[in-house]
Amino acid sequence: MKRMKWLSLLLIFALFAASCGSDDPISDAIDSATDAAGDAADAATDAAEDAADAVEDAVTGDDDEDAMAEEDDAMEDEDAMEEEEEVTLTQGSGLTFHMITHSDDGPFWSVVKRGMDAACAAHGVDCVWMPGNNDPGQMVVDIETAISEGSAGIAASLPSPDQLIGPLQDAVAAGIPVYTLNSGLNDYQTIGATTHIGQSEDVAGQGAGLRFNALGATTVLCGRQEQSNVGLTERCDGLKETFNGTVIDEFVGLDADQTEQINGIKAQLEANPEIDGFLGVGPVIAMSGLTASQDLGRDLIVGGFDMTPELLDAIEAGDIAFTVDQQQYLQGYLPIVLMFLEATNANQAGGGLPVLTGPGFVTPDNAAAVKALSAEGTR
Amino acid sequence: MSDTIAGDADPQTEQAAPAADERLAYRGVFQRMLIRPEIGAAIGAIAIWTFFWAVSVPFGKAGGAASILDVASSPLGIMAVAVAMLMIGGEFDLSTGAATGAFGIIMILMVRDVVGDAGGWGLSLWWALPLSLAAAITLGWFNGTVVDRTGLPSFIVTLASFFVLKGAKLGFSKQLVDQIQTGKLDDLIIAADQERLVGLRLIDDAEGARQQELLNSLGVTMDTPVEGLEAGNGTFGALLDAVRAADANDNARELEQLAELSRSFIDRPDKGYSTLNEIFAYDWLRNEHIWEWRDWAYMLGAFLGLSLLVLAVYEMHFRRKPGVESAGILPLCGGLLIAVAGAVLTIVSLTNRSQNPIAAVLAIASSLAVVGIGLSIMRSYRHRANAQGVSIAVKSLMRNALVLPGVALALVGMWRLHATDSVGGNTVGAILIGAGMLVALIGWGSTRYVRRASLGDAAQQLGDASDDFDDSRSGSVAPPFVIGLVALVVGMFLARRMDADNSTNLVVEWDLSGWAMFLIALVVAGLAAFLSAVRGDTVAAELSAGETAVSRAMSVLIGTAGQRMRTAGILTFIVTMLFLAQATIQGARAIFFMLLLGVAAVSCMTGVRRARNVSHPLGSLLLLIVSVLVAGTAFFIRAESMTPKFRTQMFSVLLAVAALMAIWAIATLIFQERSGPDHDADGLGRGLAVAGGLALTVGLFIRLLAVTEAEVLRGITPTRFSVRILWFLAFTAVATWVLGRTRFGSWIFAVGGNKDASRQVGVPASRTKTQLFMITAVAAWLVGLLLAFRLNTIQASTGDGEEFEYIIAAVVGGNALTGGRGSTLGAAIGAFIMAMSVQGIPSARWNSDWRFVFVGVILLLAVIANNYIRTQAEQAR
Repeated sequence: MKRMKWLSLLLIFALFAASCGSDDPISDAIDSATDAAGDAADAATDAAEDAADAVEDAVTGDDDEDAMAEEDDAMEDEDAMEEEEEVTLTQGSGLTFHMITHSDDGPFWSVVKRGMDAACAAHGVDCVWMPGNNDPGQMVVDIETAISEGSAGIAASLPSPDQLIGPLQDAVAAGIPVYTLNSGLNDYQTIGATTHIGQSEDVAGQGAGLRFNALGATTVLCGRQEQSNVGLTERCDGLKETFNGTVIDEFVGLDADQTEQINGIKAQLEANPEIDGFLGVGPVIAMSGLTASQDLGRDLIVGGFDMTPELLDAIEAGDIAFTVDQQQYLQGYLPIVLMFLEATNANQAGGGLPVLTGPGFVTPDNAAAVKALSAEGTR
Repeated sequence: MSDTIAGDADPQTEQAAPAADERLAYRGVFQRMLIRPEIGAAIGAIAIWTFFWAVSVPFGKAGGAASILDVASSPLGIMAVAVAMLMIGGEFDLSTGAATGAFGIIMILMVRDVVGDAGGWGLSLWWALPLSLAAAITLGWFNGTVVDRTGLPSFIVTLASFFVLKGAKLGFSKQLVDQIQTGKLDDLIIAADQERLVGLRLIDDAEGARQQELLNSLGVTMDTPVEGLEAGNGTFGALLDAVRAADANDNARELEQLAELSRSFIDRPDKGYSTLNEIFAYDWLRNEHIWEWRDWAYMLGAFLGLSLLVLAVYEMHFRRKPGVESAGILPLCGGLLIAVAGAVLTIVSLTNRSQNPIAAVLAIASSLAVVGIGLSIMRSYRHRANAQGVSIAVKSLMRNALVLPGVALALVGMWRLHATDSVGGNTVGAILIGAGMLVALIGWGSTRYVRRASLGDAAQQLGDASDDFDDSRSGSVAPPFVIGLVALVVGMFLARRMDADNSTNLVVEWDLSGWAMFLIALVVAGLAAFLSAVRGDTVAAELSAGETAVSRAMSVLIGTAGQRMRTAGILTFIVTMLFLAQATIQGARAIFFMLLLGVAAVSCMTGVRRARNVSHPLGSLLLLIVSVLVAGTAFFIRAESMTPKFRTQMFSVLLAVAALMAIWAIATLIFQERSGPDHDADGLGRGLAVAGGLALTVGLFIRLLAVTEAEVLRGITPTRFSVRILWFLAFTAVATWVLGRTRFGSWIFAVGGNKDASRQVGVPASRTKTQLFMITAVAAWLVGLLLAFRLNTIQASTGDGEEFEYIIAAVVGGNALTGGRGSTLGAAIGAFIMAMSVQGIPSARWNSDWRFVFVGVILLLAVIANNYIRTQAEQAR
C-alpha cells in the first residue's frame, strides 16, 4: 500500500515535469506572426542578401574571416556546382584522404572536423574522418585500414608516438603522403611525413610575450593551473623568451577549485605589487585572473589561452586584452589542401619545417566576429 | 568500520592508574581542554598564522584575511565540516568533491533557457533549488543505502559514485552545452534585462508612434530611452520585426496581440536570480564602510572577550566560597556591561567633535548588555532563584570595590592606546590596561573564591620547597627553565647579529654546497633525534633491559624511543633541507627567532608546570618571572624590529600575554583551586567562555569589516568579504550543535565507534549512517550553489579530486580516520590551516610549487601533535 502511494506520487511528479517541458507560448505566437508577415518578404530578402555578399566578396577580397563565414554558403551551393563542373575537376575527383586523430568529438575536435569537411567540399575530394577517441590501438587499426584502402593521403595526430610511428612509416613506405597534425611536432620527421600542421606551445607563449610588450606591461605573472604539465610550462617559457620585462611563473591553483585559484592569484598580486600583467595559460584561469584583479581593484593586462564563451564575452567587453587561439580549424583544413596539392600538383609545403596554425589572437577588435564564428563552430 | 568502542581508553593509561576508579577521577579545566580533539589544530593554526604573519607583508592585513576566509569557507570549510561528521560516523565519502560541481551544474542546467540542441528546462530558481536539493539527498541516500546493504567499505562505493559523477558532469556538459562548462547563470538576469530593455525601446521607437500609443493604452509604462542596445537579436528581435511587419500591413488585431506580448516581456521576472544572488553571493565591500570608532569597538571587544575568558577559567578552576551561585553573576555581567558602555559613551562624546555614529557604539554595547541580561534572566529562571540571584549580585557588587576602579583604569589605558600612534603612548596605554585588568580581575575573584590560607603560609611553603630542592621531583624544574632562558638569549643574540634587510638566499650568502647542506641537515636531525630520545629516560631504561652491547643497541633502535628518534630525525632532516634550500637571510632571522622563542616558551612553561607539582606558590612565582620575560621580549622586539607591525601589533599582543600570565600567577597565588567537580560552576564557566569568544569574534570582525577615514586617505587595497563566510560559520555552528547537544550527535559518535555495539543499545545504526551520507550530499549541494552564484558558470572538472583536501582538513582538525572521535570545530580550523597555506606561501614569496609539501608536513605534524597532546593529557589525570 505504502509502495503504491510512493509510485503514484512519482507518477504525478513525472506528469508535472512533462507538462512543464512544453513549448514556450511566446515563441509560438511570434513564430506564427512572423510567418504571416514575413513569408512573402523572405524570397526578396534572400536575393538581396546574396547580392550583398557578392559585392562584399568583391570589395574585401582575401579577408580570411569573411571567407570563412561564407564557407557555409559556399558549401550549400557546392552540390549544385559539382554536377555542372564535374568535367573541369577531374584531377581532384576520386581522391580519398584519411584523417586519423585521437579526437573525442568534443568542442575542440568538432571544429577540426568542420575544417576538414569544408576543405574537402571546396576541393571536391572524398574525406574519411576516423576519430580514435584517445585510443591509440584504434588509431593503429585505422591507419592500417587507410593503407589497405589505398588512401591518397593520410593526416594523423600523434598523441602517443611510440605506437603510431611504425604504422605511419608503413604508410610512407607504401608511397602514401603522410602529414601530422595537432600533436607530433617532434616526430613528423622521423616518420618521413611531409610536414606537421599544428601549434607549438613555445611559439604560442612567445607570441603572448610580444603582445604584452606591445601593450606596455612590465611584470607579468604567468599563472599555471597545473603543477607539472609540460605544455603549460612551455607556454610560460615561451613568454619568458620574448617578453622584455620580468615574468613570475607560478602554479596558482587547480581549475577544479576556482575559489582557491582566484585567491592564489590574489595572494601573488598582493605579494608582488609590481605585477601589471597576467597570462593565464588556460581559459578558466584567465577568467580567475580577471576576477582576482577586479577584486583587488588592480588594473591588469590580462591574457589567456584558448576560448570559452565566457572568455570571449570578457574580451569583447575589453576586460581581457587577448587570448591565444590555436585555430584548430586550420588543423583540419590545411592538411586536406596540402594533400590535395601534393596529389594533384606534386607540391610539398613547409620546406621540412612545421606549418604553424597559431598563435592566432582574439582581441577586443575581432572578438565579436570570432564569437559569431565560434557559435557557427569554425573557431 | 572500527572495532574499538568510542572513548575506550588505550591500555597505557589504564596501566598508569591501576588502583583509582577512572570514573571518579577529576579532570581540571586545562586537562579537559587539552583532551579536546581540536586542540592540536587550534594551536597549530595560531602557530602557522603567527609564522606567516611574521615572514610576509600582506598576510596579516584585511585583504589577506579576506582571502583566507574565502578559501576556508566555501568549498573547503563547509565540506570539511560535513566530511568530519561523516568520518566521526565511521565512513568516508569520496564523491563529495565531484558532487559539489555536479549539483552546481545540475542547477544551472535546470535554470537555463537555451541548452544546446537538447533544450533547457528554463525553470525558475525557486524550483531549481529544491529540485537540485532533492537530487543531492537522493545521491546521499544512494551512497548510504548501498554501503549499508552491501556491507562494502564506503571507500569503494563512493569511489564508484565519484567516477559516475565525474563522467556524468563531463558527458552532460558536452552533450548539452557542447562545452566543458555550463553556460552562465546570470544569463537569466541579463536576458530578462535585455528583454525588458528591448521592450522599452520597442515602445519608445520613434518610428512606432502608433505602437506606443497602443501600448500606452494597454497600460505599459515607458521608461527612459535605452542607448546602445542592438535590436534584432534572439526572440525579441523577431518580435520587433513582426511588430513592424504587422504595422506595415495595418493589421490591428495582430498588433494588439504583439503589444500584449511585449508587455509580458517587460514584466518578465528574472526567476529569483537577484534575490538569491544577494543571499548566496553578496559581497561586503570593506572600503565602502567607513567607521571612525572601529578601533574603539575592536579593542573593547578584544578586552571584554579576554576578560570574560579569564573569568571563565577562574570559574572553572577555583573553589567557590560557600553560597556563591551562578545565578547572580550574569545580572552582574549585564550591569557591568552597561557600566562599560556608559563609560565608553562618555569618553567618546568627550573626545569626539565630529558627528560619528555614536549610536552604533551604543547599539553594540546595549545589545551585548541585553544579551547578558537575557541570558541571566533565563538562567535565574531555571534556577528558580531570580530575586535571590539579583540580590546576591547587588551585594557582591557593593562588597567588591576593586572591580570598578580596575575597569576604569583599563578604559583609561585603552583611551591612551587609542589617542596616540606613538610607541610611547602605546606603552603607557598597555601598562594601564594591564594594571586595570589585574585589579579588576583580582577584585572580582576575591568576592567569589576561597583564599589560600595566607600569603605567609605560601611563603613558608615556598621555603619548604627550596629546602628540599634536591628532591627528585623538584630537581626536574630547573633544566627546562634554564633551557628556556638559554633559547631566549640565543634567539635575541641571533636576531641582533643577522641582517634584517638582507634578502639573498641563505645558500648563496653562506656559500653552501649541496654536501654542506646535507651535512648540516644531518647534524640537526641527529640532534633532534637525540633530544627526542633523551626525553623521559626511555633510552636508559631500554639500555638496562638489554644484555649485550649489540642487543642494547638493537633495543634502542627497535624500541619506542628508537621509533621516536627515527621519526624526529627524518622529519627534522626534511624540514631542515627545505629550509636551507628556500630561506633568505631575512627569513632565516625571523624563523630562528620565532623557533627559539617557541622553544623558550615551551620549556619555561614545562618548568612552571613541574614547579606546580612541587609547590603551588613556587609555580606561581616562576610564572610571574615568565610573564616578566615575555614583557622583556616584547620590548626587545619593539627595539629591534624594523617593521611597524612587529613594533606595534606583536608588541601589544605579547604585552597582553604577559599581563594575562601575571594575572593568572597572582590569582593562583591567592585563590584555592578546586579539586572536585562543580557542575554549576562549570556551566557558568562555559557560558562565560562562549560569551568571551563571541565578544572577541565580534571585535575582530568589526576590525575586518570597516575602515577608518585615515586608511581611506592612505589608499588601502579594496577588500571584499563574501557572504559565503557567514554560510560557513552558520553551517559549522549548526553541525557543532548537532554533534555536541543532540541525540543524533551522540548516535553519530556511537555508530562511528562501534556500529554493532551501538545497535545493541538501541541506536538506529543504519539509518544514522545513511542520514550522515545525506547530510554530506546536502553540504555538497550548498557548496555547489555558492559556487554557481559566485563563478556564474561551472567547469565540468570542478571539485574533482578535492575530496582529499576535505579529508585532510578534517584529519588536521583532529578527526580520527577510524571514526568515533573528532570535532567539527576542528575540521573548520583544519580548513583555515589549509587556506593559510594557499595565502601564506605566495605572501612569503616562496615558490608555490612547494605548497603541497607544506600541506603534507602540516598533516603529519598535526596528527602527531594531536596524538601526543591527548595521550599526555590523559596520562596526567
